[in-house]
Order: sequence, then C-alpha cells, then structure tokens
Amino acid sequence: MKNRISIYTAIALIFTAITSSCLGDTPEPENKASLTYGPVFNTITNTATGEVYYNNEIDYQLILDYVHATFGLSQTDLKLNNSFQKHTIQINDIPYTLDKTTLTATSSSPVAITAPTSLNISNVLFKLTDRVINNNYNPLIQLTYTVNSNYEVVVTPVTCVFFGKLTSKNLATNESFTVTNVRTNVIFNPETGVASLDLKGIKFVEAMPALDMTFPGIGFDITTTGFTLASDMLTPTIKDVPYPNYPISKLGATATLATGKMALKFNCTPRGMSEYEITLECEPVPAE
Amino acid sequence: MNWNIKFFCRPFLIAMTLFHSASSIAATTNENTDSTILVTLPTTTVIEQRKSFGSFENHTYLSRKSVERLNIVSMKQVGEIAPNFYIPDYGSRMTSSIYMRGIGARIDQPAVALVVDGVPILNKDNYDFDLNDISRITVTRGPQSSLYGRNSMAGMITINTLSPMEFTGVRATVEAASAGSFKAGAAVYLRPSTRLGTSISADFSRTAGFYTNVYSNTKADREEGGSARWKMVYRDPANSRLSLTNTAAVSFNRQHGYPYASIETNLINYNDTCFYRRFAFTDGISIEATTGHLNLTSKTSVQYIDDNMTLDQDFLPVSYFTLSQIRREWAVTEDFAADGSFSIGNKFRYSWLAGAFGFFKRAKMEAPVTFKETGIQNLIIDHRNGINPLYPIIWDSDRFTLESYFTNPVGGAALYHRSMLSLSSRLNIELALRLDYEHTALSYNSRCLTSYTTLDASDPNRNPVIFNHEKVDIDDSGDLSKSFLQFLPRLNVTYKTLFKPIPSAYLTIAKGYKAGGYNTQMFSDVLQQSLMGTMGLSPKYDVASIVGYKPEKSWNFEIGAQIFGNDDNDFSATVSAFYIDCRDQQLTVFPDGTTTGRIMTNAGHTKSLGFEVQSSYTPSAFPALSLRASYGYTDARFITFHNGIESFDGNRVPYAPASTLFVDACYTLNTPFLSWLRDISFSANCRGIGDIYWNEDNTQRQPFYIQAGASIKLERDDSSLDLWVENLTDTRFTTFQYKSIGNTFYQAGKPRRFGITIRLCFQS
Repeated sequence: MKNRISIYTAIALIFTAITSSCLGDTPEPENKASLTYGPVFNTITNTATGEVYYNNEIDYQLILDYVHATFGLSQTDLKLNNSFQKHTIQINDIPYTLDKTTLTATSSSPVAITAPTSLNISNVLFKLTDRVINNNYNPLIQLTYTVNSNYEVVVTPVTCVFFGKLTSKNLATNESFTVTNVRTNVIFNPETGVASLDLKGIKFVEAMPALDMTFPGIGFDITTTGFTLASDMLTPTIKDVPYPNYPISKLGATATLATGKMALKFNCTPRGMSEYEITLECEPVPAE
Repeated sequence: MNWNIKFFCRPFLIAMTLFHSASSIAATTNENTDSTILVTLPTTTVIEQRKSFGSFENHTYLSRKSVERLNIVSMKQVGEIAPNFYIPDYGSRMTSSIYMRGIGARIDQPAVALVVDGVPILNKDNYDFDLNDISRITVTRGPQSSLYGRNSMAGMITINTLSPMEFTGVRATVEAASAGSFKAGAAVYLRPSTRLGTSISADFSRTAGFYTNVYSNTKADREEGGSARWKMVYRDPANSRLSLTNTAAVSFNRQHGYPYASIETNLINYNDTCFYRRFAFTDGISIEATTGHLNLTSKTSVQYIDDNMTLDQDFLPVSYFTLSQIRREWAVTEDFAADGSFSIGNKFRYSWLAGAFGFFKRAKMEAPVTFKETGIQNLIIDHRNGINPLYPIIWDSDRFTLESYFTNPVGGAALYHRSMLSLSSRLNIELALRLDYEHTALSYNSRCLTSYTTLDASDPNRNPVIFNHEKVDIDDSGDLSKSFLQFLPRLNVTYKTLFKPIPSAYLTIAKGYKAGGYNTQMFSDVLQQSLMGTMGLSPKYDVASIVGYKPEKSWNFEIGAQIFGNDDNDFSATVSAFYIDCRDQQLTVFPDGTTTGRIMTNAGHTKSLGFEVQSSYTPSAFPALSLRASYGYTDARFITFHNGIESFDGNRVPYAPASTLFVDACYTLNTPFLSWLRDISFSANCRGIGDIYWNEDNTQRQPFYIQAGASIKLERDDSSLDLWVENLTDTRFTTFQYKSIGNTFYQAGKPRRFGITIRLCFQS
C-alpha cells in the first residue's frame, strides 16, 4: 500500500495488529505505509533576518506506522538558503492522532535519525485528510517544521487543486448567475516568485461559452496554514494566447491547505461591457 | 410540376397495344377481396399470425387488390390509409420516420416495427424499399412490445409478398409516370409438386426526379434501384403438417436525395454532393410443425445492409461542411414459439403461446465530417476572433476532416408468453408478458489532425506578426456499453355484445418500449467539443452523456368497438379511443443553458390522446360501389420537456400530425358487352394530413391539407391497365422542415403526377 493511506484501513489494521499480537509468542507485526508527497516546495523563513528562501520542486517521503501510530518523513534536498548545502533529513516516531478523517501528528522536539548533528528539527506539525479526485488519491496535507530554531519551513504543493462555485455579478445591473465545480488549479513558480491560476470551465456571463483560462503572474505569500494571492491587474490567457479584451483586476485569494478551501475574488471588465465581480468559493472536492 | 406529355403518349400507345394483345390463358384470378379493413386477420402459417392477438386488434388491412389499385409499392405509401399513421416522404430511402398516434422517431431507434415475409427488419434505415407483388399489408396500432419486444412501441407493419402456394404462373408489371419515372418487374411462380412451391422475381425502377438543384441544374431526387426475391415454400400436410418457407431478397438503391430548399429563397441550391446508396440482403426461414394440439414455429433471419449517406450538410451554395455515414451491418434473429389450446369444460377455452427471441447485430461505421473554407471561417474563425481580435487566428488549410469510426454490437434475448381465456362465447381475456434483455456497446475512435496560427495584432503600429502555431491533434478512443432489462405486460379484454350494431368491444392496456443505445450522429457534437477544447473552450460533458440514451417507455390505454350497419353487414366500422403516456422520451437538448453542444437525453414526458374511425361500405343494392374512409385524431403534447434553454410544456409534439384522413371510392363496371374487357373500375381517393408542427415551440406548422387521387383501371382476366393520377389538384405542401446553423430548410411535397401501369398475369 505505497501511495494510499486510508484512515479507516489504518484503524482496521491497527486493530488487527493489536489482536494478532495477543495470539501468543509471535513476532511483533509491522504495518507501514509510505506516501510520496510532491512535487512541493519549501518556503523557508529565517526568523532572525526575515529572509525568505524557496526550495523548489522537491519530494517528501511520508511514512505512517499503523502499529505504533507514529508518523515520519524523509527529505533529500533540504536547503535552508542559497549558501546552504543540501541535506537529507529523516524524522521518525512522531505520534499521531485520528479525528474523523484527519490525521494529526505534532512534536516539539523529535529526534532526527540521519540528520547531520548540526541540524535540529522541532515544532513539527503534520495534518493529512483523505481526498480522492477522479479516482486518484490526492490528500490534503499541511506540513510545517522548524530547523535549528531559526528556520521555519512551510511545505506547499506546487499545484493545489480546488473546485469552486463561481458567482458572477454584473455591477451595473446587480444580476448574477452561478456556475458550479469550476476546477481551479493554483500553480506556484517560486523561482519567479509568481503563481498562476488555471480555471477550467469559467464564464462571466450566462451566454458566454465556458472557457479554460489562465491568470498568470499573480503574487503570492505562503503562510503557516496555506497561502494568499494578490494581483492588481493581469491579462488572462487561453492556450498561452493573451486575451486583453478581458482584463482581470483586484484579484485576491486566501487558502487553507488542511481544509482544502480557498476564497477567490476578482473583477473582470470585458471590452464594451459592464464590470463583473466574480467570486469563487472553493472546496477540496467537486460538489455532487 | 413538370411532366412530359410526349413522354406519356408513346408508352400509352404501347401499353394499349400490349393490353389488347395479351393472350388469354386461363383466366382464374385469385385476387383477394378488395378491402382495406378487416377486423380479424386471415389465418396463415407464419409466426406473425400465431402471435397476433386473436381476440381483437386494431388493424388496418390492405389486400393485394387494394395495394395495386392504390399503386403501393413501398411502406411509405401506406401512410394515412390507416388512421393516425403517417410516414412522411422526404430525405432519402434512409429516412423512415414513422409516426403512429403521435409517437415516432426521427433519430436512431424506430417506434414502429416492420416485418416483411416474417423477417423483423431491425434497422430503420432499411425500412424504405420497393416490393413487387405485395400480397397484403397489415398496420397494427398500439404497442406490440409484449410479443415483439424492442421498437414496436407505437405499432407494427407487416408486409407479406405473394406466395407460390397462392399463385402459379407469370406476373409482370410495367409502369411509366411523371418525372421520367419508369418501373418494370417480373416474377415466375412455380409448383413443382403439391408440396413445393417456388418463385423468383426481379424489378427495376428509376426516376429522373421532381426537384431541381439550381446550383448544378440537375435533379436533386433522381434515383434508380432494383431488387430480386426468391421464395420457396414447402408444405407437407401428412407429416405433422410441416411447412417451411424461405424468402431471400436483395435490393439496391442509389439516389441523389435530400431535395431541401431554403425557406428564404424557396430554391434547392447547394454545391456539394448529396446521395444515398444502399445494398441490402435479407433471408428469412420459417418452419412450422403441428403435432397433436401443439404448434411449433421457428423463424430465423439474416440481414445485411451496406449503405453510404453523403450530404452537403449545410445545403447552401457555399462550402461549410459535408458529412458521410458509411456503414456495414450484419444481423441475425431467431424467434421460437409454441402454442396450443384446450377446452375447459363446455364453456371455457384456454389458448396459450410461449416463445423465446434472440438477436444480434453488429455495425461498423465511418462518419467523416469535412469542414471547408466557409465553415472554417464562419463557424470557427469569426467566432474565435470576435472574442479576441487582438490575437486573431488563421487556419493553416482550407479544410480539415473530423473522422469517426464506430463498432456497435447489439444483442438481446427475450422470453414471452400469452394466455387467452375464452370464458364464454362472449368474453375473451388475454394477458401477455415479455421479459426483454438487451446489451449494446459502442467502440469509437475520433480523430482530427489540423492546425492554425495565432497572430499578434496587439500593436497598431505594425503589421500582425505570428504569435504561435497551434497543432490540433485529436485521437480519442473509448468503449461504452449499456444493458437494459424490460418487463412488458399487456392485457386485452374483448366482449361480444348482444347488441347487433356493436357486436364486440375491447379494452387494452399495454406497455411499449423503444430500445436505448447510442446515437453515433451525436459524435459530431463530441468532436466539436474536443475541437473547441483545443482552442480553450471547456468540454462540458463526457462522451457517454452526449451520445447515450436510455429506453423510452409508454403505457397505452385503449378502448374500441366494432360496428355493423344493418343485417346485410354492408357497413362495418371500427372505432377506438386511446391515451398514451410516454416517458423518458429520447431527445436532443442543450445542457445547462448552453447554446452549443447538444446531448442525447431522456428528457421528455409526452401524452397522446385521440381516437380513430375506419369504415367500409358496400351497398347491398349497389355492390359495384365500395366506399371506405378512415380518420384519426391525436392530440400529442409535451407534459414536460425542457431543452436546457426553454420549456415546451404543453406544446404539441413536432412532426406528428394531428389528423389523418383517407377516403376512397371505387365503382366497378362489369363489361360483358366487351369480349376483350372484363370490367372497368373508376376510383377516387383523398389523403389528408395535418396540422404538423415543425418545432417544439410550435411557431411553424404545416396546416391540414388534402391530396386527391384517381384512377381508371381496365381489367381482363390476364392483364390490367391502370391510368392514375396522384395529387390531382397539385396541392402545395411541406413534407418536412428543419433548422440548421440558423437557416431553415424544407422539402416540398411531390406535385401532381400521372402514370400508366400495366400488369400481366398468366396463371397456370
């Protein structure tokens, strides 16, 4: 069971492990699951200087030990700043708890097994919630930790997927209409410092055909719980072709990774038409 | 109307010569009674008669004599004669949209079954063909699904051709008619022994056509075709009353069909080729045996169709797009039944029928759609550049093809049973049940390879420059499948009254069923969605949602009665009233408020409320005169139907006529004073149809109209000469109307036409 962690299966396996361990003089059972979490990027903030550094396009190996109810991770490309060399870290034995569909593991001072002695890892927070999109397992994960008490590391997926209920309101007439399940991908490019939004099936007016639009060049800030997006003005593109007749303005978004929710808002003034205010209330999975 | 006087005079003189000189070999004719109405069917040995509802059924029956007198050679000409029964003549031989009591189908599965010489024709596109020597036609109204299963939801048409057991000798027909129409056919019927009969027939026909395409200055509906049939019948009364009948038939047609005119110009004017070509083969063998009180019947058929429909899909004199549908389909059917009866005491009699039916058909089809320069410009480039004029596109070629390939296997099996209990000499109760299973699958592959270039025209100070090239490479494949299980009951109660004018009355409650499946014609919408997706327009629905549809079901409630006029029974009539509730109607809609991209759906709920009368009268004091009339009225409306954009609740169902009318009078004058002539028949008839609405919002319609016909028939024992006219008053009417890419097109009904038909019949 390499890539899928089912909380309910985990519970069942835990009970199985407990039961089988009572059956006599048998070796202690093992039951672990490993999940590759990536591609992601680390946002590393030096709390002393305020400097922010990005570790881009990396993977984490997440390990769940169902028998001992512990969480661990390993990462081979940890780099805290430009002059820092890459390190491999491995953390084990962080106890986790289950609350309905969310697994939470926290620790203030775990022991890194293979980390160099110069590294100290603390304040680990790991939350995982099951999610399946189009028969693919795509869990919601929040992962943060602190290195050497100075460097706060926030792990964010390069691509975050949401499904939004779009409401478009004509600011001149106050008429509005809604479109459901607009698939919204937020794609981060830490090297350039901007993100883009891919919106599939978006429309601003009822008669408009649904379009797959991209909003490029959006500024972002990574927070400990998720991220924010902001842009004053941008030109959307479709298949990399700019559509200057549909300028997007006043774009702002706030997202929480653990819940998979995002609130997105922007305005659009198609040439020759009224200004529209568009909001997307995004959820982690499509509405039924 | 355009008919050639010279064309008629010459064949008329030849015809008269032939008629006079025909040798008078033994003159025993074997014509059936000239009757268009028969309450109970004549018994035959084919499986259809075993399965006919013997207590009472709403039939219209056409004898051979009526078929000849009304000049019927194909199923399309039977419309209106039976009440509430309409087959519009438009498009091509592939177009067989039959409407019965407000229920019909333009797309895919038929609502009315067609059985020819015991072969259930599975493909509606193979319904329209000419038949030589039709022996009888029976139109049965109301669901036949309990015994015939799929696609007999509205009724059934049964056509039987002449059997060598009914006639031996030689028959020939020659006909010339308006628009350069010519037909010729001949058949030989042999009885090598008392048990064995065989016949072989062949015919050929052609027409220059009535409608001119002004673009090419050629006739848009010219056609030629032919067919051949071999029939073999074996009967052994001594050996379990064994009978075996095999009928094999081939036919071919090629026509330049689809004479659609623009409603704005009233001209047929399109630049690309339209044609329909078809080759079809059927072979059906039925075996019947009777042992004791048990009758066993087996009917096996093989059917093959190879056709090509190619259209200038826009029907305009510009190059929008063309499409082809090239198909090969095999089908096999097997129907096995047993029936028997026995008495219970002195008063009760129980009859039963039980059977099993299975079929399998497999079609392979190619359906390319070619977008041409005007279509690319108007349908793609202009729309796209209207959205983004600062980055316009140009197509890299003047045409591209959306290719589609399909394999569609369909199979099914059914068990059926009918019990009939005669409780007394007056009361019959009949219950039929059918359990019908069907599985359909569709493998598809859609491809398109083309490209376009995006220009950057955002800087007004310079000429547009190339921004990027976009390659469109679509190669979608998939497999879809569906299964359907239907339970189809039917109850019929017939009561024979003591009231002589109304000797019997009936009540019928039955469920009808039209199979679900996949409409491959919707793949043009699938590909459109894929193409738009490559340009950034979001695909809305998956393939299965666009092309798949569930079965359509109906409940039919009917009451009726027979009526006789007086003791001489020279007047008879049947009257009936019905209510049909039809659900999950198979329709195309625009999903969720979009204006492009249709999907198949089961969205409709309709009702049909109506009545029918059919009557015949031959005055006993004046037996040379026979009169018959039929009238049907149907109020067919949507109870609920929303096409994704607007609601049509309460509107009339389009294409289904509100009324049908048929009146026919025939006076036969015996001519003993002429040695060379037996009798002369003078006939006149009229067919009325309408109103017909052309769209769901009922804004366009064809009002009720009448076509009159007449004929004079000179008849000898061995030959006849028929002078006939159809649409005598040259009534102008529209037989079909539709809308495509914002343009409305229609097909005008055929104008007045004259003809001469000579039939030779040398009986041995």
